[in-house]
Amino acid sequence: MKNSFIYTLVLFVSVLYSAVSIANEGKPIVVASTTQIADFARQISGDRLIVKSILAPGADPHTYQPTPNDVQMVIGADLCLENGLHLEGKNWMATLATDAGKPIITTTNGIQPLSISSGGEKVADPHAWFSPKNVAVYVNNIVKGFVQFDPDAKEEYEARATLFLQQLRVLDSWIRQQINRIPTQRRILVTTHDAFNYFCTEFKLNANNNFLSIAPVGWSTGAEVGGGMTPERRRKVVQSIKESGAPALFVETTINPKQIREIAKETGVKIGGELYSDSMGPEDSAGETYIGMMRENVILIVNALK
Amino acid sequence: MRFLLVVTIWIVIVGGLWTYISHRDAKRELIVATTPIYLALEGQFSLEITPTFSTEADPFALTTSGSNASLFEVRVNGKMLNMGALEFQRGETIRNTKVGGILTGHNEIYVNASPPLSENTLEHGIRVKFYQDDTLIVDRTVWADQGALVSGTVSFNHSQTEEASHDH
Repeated sequence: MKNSFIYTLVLFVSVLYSAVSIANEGKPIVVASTTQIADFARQISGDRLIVKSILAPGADPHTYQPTPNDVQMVIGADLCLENGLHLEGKNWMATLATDAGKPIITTTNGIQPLSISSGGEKVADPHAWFSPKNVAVYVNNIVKGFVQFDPDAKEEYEARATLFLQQLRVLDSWIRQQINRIPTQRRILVTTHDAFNYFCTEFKLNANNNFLSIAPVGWSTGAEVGGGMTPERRRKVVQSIKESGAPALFVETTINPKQIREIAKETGVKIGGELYSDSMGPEDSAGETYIGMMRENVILIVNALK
Repeated sequence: MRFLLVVTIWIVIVGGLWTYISHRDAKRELIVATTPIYLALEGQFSLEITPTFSTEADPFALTTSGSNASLFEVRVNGKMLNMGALEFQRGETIRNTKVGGILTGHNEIYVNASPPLSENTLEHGIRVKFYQDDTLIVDRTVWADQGALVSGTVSFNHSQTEEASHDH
């Protein structure tokens, strides 16, 4: 009798498991390069599409090396999404999609990128998501791609996108209100790498640096032109911190904090906290969505600088 | 023998559940949905909207639809109303003197517009005035929090009046 009960239970659980598997079976798969783009895509797709991210929370897109699992993931995809502007070091996402013969959408198409001068070279800054207005462009590109891929669900995708765009509008307004709580002379944002140019330009931080990031490491943590840390960059940052009287320095979740901690020690400035930059936070953390990530960053920045 | 017993228990459980669900749904079908009967009203209806802001391109707009070139949206009972302008200026009143689709009973006027982002420290609103012939039926303002879209519904009940029910 006991065995019969166990058999029944096993049968019941297996039927339930099959039902869940059937529910996801046949749904198109979208593979995004970064956690942010995957979040934007999920806000638009709902449960109609399965959205996966190649990068795990906390991974660095500049230096990422795709694995055989990533190749398999892209082979199984119906549509791929990338940031573009060389965020994905050596264009690894475009290469994966091209090799697998999959369509790919560059979600930053149409954004006016900030141009960064580095060592006499001009580089387009890829960290465009730090301006909610730019995220609206990402969203519109993703909606266009989804509608082209699945025209029957046009209204559904547009309805979800409309809600997300309104949330972005409110986020933008809220960030302005929060940043306004910091006295103008204390609005100095020093981070590990040059990821916050769009944020500084949009919300008017680092006036003494033309509203651009102040960071010892360039726009990329990799070996691209203008990327990495040079002794010259480091010297300039230390000088800038001393001249501006920056109240705090910030480390980033995707980058080893060693360099910024050394600079903090050298300049005697405190560490204000850890910011989400090239990746969102892990599941169940406050930064697991784009809006959550931006909210937590702003709260940290305001608390440290005000 | 054991396998047969498991299958029998399974059939009893699933069959019982199926019977219960079928019985429950059959009961539901007996409930007849009552649809309210609306009568379209006759008469001349006019709508006036007056914003506290001038419209400008919204960086947070969905650009994929393409059909909605206007920077604001007005709907009467769910149907888009052409106000004869694609944008408006602060304090300017826009009128539509031929509003159709007004019903006896519950009616809704929906307005949606995006105030300039540069004015996100101000609270903005749109005043909505609705007339039947020269009589003011409703006069309300839809307000929005700082930085948000001005978006809201003005609801009102309208009963068949003597003037509206006659041809003269």
